[in-house]
Amino acid sequence: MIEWAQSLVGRHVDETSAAIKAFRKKPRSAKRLHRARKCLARLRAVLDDYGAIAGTSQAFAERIARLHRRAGKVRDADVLLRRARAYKKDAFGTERAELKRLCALLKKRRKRMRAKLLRELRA
Amino acid sequence: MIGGVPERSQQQIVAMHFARCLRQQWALTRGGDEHVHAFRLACKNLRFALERLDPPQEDLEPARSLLELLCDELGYAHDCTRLAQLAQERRAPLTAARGRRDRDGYVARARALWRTAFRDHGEFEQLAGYALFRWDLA
Repeated sequence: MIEWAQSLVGRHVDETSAAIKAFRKKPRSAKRLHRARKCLARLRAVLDDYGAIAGTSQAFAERIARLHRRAGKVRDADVLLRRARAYKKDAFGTERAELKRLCALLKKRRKRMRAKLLRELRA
Repeated sequence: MIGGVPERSQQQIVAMHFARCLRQQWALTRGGDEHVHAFRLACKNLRFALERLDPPQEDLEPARSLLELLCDELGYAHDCTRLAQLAQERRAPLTAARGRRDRDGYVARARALWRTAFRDHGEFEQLAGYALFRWDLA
């Protein structure tokens, strides 16, 4: 059981490392960010369910959770920006002006959050 | 398959996540944004547990795929909620109202998906059997 859990965690760690490496090579890619975040989410779930059996440290689980949250913030800005842009296509007047403001804000936020995530990954 | 896979423990983990979903399902009808989000996370964890099964259980694929659809709908609902909140904070009432309206639509679609999964021969029938759950609607 321990061996199996360790192997499961190991497999997810490898996948996550590869996804993070790919994202760091091209940090502006929304696709690569999404992939890295998905891997982090899956790894986090595996650690929640099997971390104790596999003997992984609490510090490692916390680091993964922190990275997942950070990646989530960039992804959030990305997704909200996409939705706001889609709304803007058929909006006019006041609503269009509102959305223009929100898009500018979300773009800035995405940039800031991406920088924070990259800093966290370097740490 | 790696070594002697402890099938029973995987089954218990699936049962635990399914129980969490069932416990939080009320969020779809009466829950606020946070409750709906918590329900979505519970569904996501159940889906992850199903995807990890070793060996894979093909008869649980309908449940997994329904959970994926459900999580997508609830994910869109969450995005709309976040956009509405941001719009509210930034004094953009028209966008906030649109976000709220769209959010309600996605939650309604997720509610319909969740309900259909419990009908006879529905997507959750095999999952309930695997988790050793039984319910009586009589």
